[in-house]
Formats: sequence, C-alpha cells, structure tokens
Amino acid sequence: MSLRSGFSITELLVAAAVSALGILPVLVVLLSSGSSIRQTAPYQQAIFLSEYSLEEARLGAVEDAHFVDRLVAEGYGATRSPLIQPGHPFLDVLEDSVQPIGRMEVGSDLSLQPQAGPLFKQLQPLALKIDTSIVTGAEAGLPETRVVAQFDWRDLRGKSMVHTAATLVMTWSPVKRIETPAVPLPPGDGSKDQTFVQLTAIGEQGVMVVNQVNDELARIRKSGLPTGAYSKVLALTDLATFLEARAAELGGLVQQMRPLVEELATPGAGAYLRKAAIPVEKRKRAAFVARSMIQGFLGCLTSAMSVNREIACEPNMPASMYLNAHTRLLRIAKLDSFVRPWQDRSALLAYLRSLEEAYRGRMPNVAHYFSAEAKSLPMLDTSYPLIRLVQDVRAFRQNLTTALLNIRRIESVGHDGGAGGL
Amino acid sequence: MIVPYAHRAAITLLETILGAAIFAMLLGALLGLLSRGSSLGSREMEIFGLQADAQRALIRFINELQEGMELVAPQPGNTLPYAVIRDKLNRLAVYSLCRTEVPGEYALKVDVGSPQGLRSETLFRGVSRLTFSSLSDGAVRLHLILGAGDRQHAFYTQIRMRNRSAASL
Repeated sequence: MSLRSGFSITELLVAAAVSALGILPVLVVLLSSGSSIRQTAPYQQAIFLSEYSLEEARLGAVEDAHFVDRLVAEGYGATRSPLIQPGHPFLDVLEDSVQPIGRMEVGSDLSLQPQAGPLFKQLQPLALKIDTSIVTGAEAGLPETRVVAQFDWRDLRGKSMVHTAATLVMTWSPVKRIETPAVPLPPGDGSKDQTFVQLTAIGEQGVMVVNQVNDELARIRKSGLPTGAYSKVLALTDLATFLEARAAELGGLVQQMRPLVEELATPGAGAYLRKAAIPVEKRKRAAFVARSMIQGFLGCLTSAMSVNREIACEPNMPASMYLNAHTRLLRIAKLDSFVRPWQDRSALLAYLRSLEEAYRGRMPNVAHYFSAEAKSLPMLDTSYPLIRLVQDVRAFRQNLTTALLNIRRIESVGHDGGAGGL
Repeated sequence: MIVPYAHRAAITLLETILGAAIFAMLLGALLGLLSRGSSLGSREMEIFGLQADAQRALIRFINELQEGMELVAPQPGNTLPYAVIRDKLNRLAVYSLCRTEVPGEYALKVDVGSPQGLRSETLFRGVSRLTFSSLSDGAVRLHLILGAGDRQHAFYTQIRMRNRSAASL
C-alpha cells in the first residue's frame, strides 16, 4: 500500500457511501420540514374557520331572536359532516356571483364547490360538527348557549386531528320585552273613595306622559323634521323610540290602574261614591284621566307604528336603520294586535312574509327571524310574553265604561258629558 | 504485461474511468434527491412564508376591520372587490386592491379619509384575488387568495364589527 500514489476504487466507493450517509439526514430533515408545513395548512384553515363560525354564532344571536332554536331544534351543523358535502349549512354561499346581483342565494351563487378554486381544495380535508348546550350565564343568571365548533381532519400520516373553539351567546326570549315600569301607589285605606283618589293619582301621572307626547309632537310639527334624508331618519328613529317608551310607561300605568277601575265598576261602587260626596270637578277629572290613559297608550302605539313605517319607506338608508324599524314595528304591531278589540293578524302575517322575502339572500339571520315569527304567529295567543299586560289592558277597557258610569252617577245635577266609554 | 495488483503504484485509467462513472452516477442520484428535496423544501417554505405573511397581515387587517362601526359597502347580499368601513374614529376607510410590478399580483391598500387629508397605506402584497361579501350590516366576509399558480393559498373568514352599536343606528 505504501507504494500507491492514488485511491483505490474501494476507497472511492467507501467515500461515496460515507458522503451519502452525511447527505441523507439533511435530505430527510428537508423533506420532513416540508411535510410539517403541509400539515399546518388544514390547521390554519381550521383556525380561520373557527373564528368564522364563532362570529356567525355571535352575529346570529344578535340578529335572530330564534337563533338558538335554529341551532338546537333545527339541528344546524349538529351532525359531523365534511365541509364540501353538498347542502352543508356552513359556508353554503360564499359570494354573490350570479344574477340577481344583491342577493346571495344558496344553490345558485358561489358555494364551497370546485368552482371556489383553491379554497375548495384546501378545505377538502375538513369536517365540522357544531354542539350546543344551554348554560346559566355568569351575569344575572341569564340563560346562555354554549356553541362549540369542532373541526377535524386527517393529517398526512392518517392521524386524526381536531381543532375546537367555543363561545357563549345570549339566549333571547322570543320577543324583546316592552318594559312597563312600576309606579308607587299613594297609600290607601282600601275604601272606594280612596280607590277613587288612587285612580286619579295614577291617571295624573298618565296625563303627564300624554302631555309630554303631545308637546313633543307639537314641537316637531312646529320646527319640522331635518331636511337631509339621513338626519330626518335619525330624528324619526328618536321619535319612534320615544313613542314606544311612552307607550310602555302608559301600559305600566294601565296595569296599575286595572284593579282600581275594576273596583269602581262593581255594582255597589256608584252608591258608595255617592255617599262619599266627591266634588263634581274631581269626578270629571278622574273620568278624564282614566280615558286619557288608554287613549294615550293606544295613540302612542299607532303613532310609533306610523313613524317606523315612514322610516322603512325612506330610500337609500343603511341596512341597520331598516332592520331596526322593521323590528320595532313588528314588536309594536304584535302588542297592538292584542290590545285592539279586533284581532285580525292577516295583515301582520303578510307583513312578516314580505320582510322574510326582503331579507332573503341579504341577511339570512334576519330572514330566519321573520320567518320564525310568521310561523309562530298562530300560536301567539299562548306564547306572547307580554300576555299579562295584554290581559290588564283588556280588563281595563272592559271595565272602564262601567266605572265611568258609576263615577257619573254620583253627580247630583250637572252633566259633564265626560263618562263616555271606549 | 500484467502487473500484479499488490505491486501496482496506482489504479489504471480504466479503473479510474469506471470509478468516476460509478461515483458520478451515485453523486448524480444523490444530487437529484438533494435538489428535489431542497426544491420541495423551498416550495414548502414559500407556501409557509405565504401563510405566515398572510396570517400576520390578516391579523392586522382583521383587527382594523373589527374595530369598525359600520360596513358601508358592500351592502348585505353583495360581493365587491373593495370594502368601505366607517372606522372607530368615524372616518371612512376604503380597502381595495392595486396592481404591483408583478403581473397578476395585487397589493391590498387602505385609504383613510379624515379632516387631515387622505392617508394611504399598503397592508400586504402577493394577493391574486380578494372579495368582500356581506350577509349582515355588521359583518364582512373575506375570500382571499394569496400567491400564484399552484402556490396559491386561500382563506375565507368573517369579521364582525365590534363597535357596531357605537354607530347609533
């Protein structure tokens, strides 16, 4: 060997093998890093889509009072299924891609199909399951719904991967409540003349509210609404909110006045009040305030509906202005349909159907809300949350005529003509 | 004359050529594997870079949108290649694509109008397609495709405007 001046072939082959042994790990590292990067792609998609699904849940809870029913009763996404499966409710429409422009229609516009390009390919491995459960919220013990979105896929080695995200959304009552604040009653001794005093006291508060409404309407009539379309709608929105709030106040007062009116409508009330020798002016006033209460309440409802209708007819406003006007109008119209002596809800049903059609393909949560409201309209008599208020108003109206007659009967001579019923 | 192997001072020309050929073949195969591995690696790194860039840019972009008060455009039910947002300072911010020097590649820019004037800023580049859709007046959906050819990366997500109630609508 010592006489050799070059390498033998064996040495060359050994050197090549050694070099290959050195290069192979580098190659393995490079290839495995590539596969690791490929592994992260579905994970990243799952993160983005989790955010999407949670935002969808939060948005749905705000825009659709029946959203939780939709999730729970209608089983939205409750069964684990691949995202690209036709008819999957999640990502059922991606873009407004075909006529009519301005409506994203499920089935015709771009959905998660091969036409969606790289998105379809990248979401192909993912499947989704949405779990819902009702929990008691930390704040004021209000019921909340826990929405859990679980994405799963198989990685390159066939291993099952899962990404889970959860949020809590408010569980709304089917209808927002019109608050009816309680007004403290003046202390009474339980006698009918004291009842008369209490009725007048509550009625005076009602008259103050009615005067407030009349003053506001007179002010608007005098100064006029702003000329700019947007400012005008803002002013009308304020007015609609104001009228609804005053209707709520008067509704609360009517509720409080109901037992008093009932008591004054009993057969013995007239004779008792005659003995009490209440001055005629006071009796006139009592009749006036009692009538003003119910007239003011119904007037506020009618005016609020009219103002909301005017907002809804104003062109080129932001979508939320129409939505809020429609929601307010529906809320008031439902109450109005209960407290009027006639109950024809066919117009309300037609209105709900038209709203569902108007929002279809534009705001699906809202369209679902109006659709669910239309479906539940026949059951409204049993499910209306303000049924107690409605019963009080009805009883008030039924007894008011008799109560006012009793008040009038105690007049000795004069005719004030103020005992007309409603 | 054949020289016995043990007495040879070096390898013959034939042996050298043969050895070189085998070595070259071996090296070629190794280099092929290496270059394939490195090209795969660099492609993956490019995709990873795209993902990482997109994620960083998107997070910033999403944060800006989240702080908005009102989605002015697209109106619900529409899809547009741009979006107009009323931001948290009541300024109008227009998000749109502009061309770059690379054919088929766009950059996402934002133009914010305020009493101080118009401010323009490029948020990120490498966009091949971006649409804004809306199915609510309080949220916008993004369909974003980054990269070109077979190195595209797509995202679809929805951003809810958290200051929507501040718009007093």
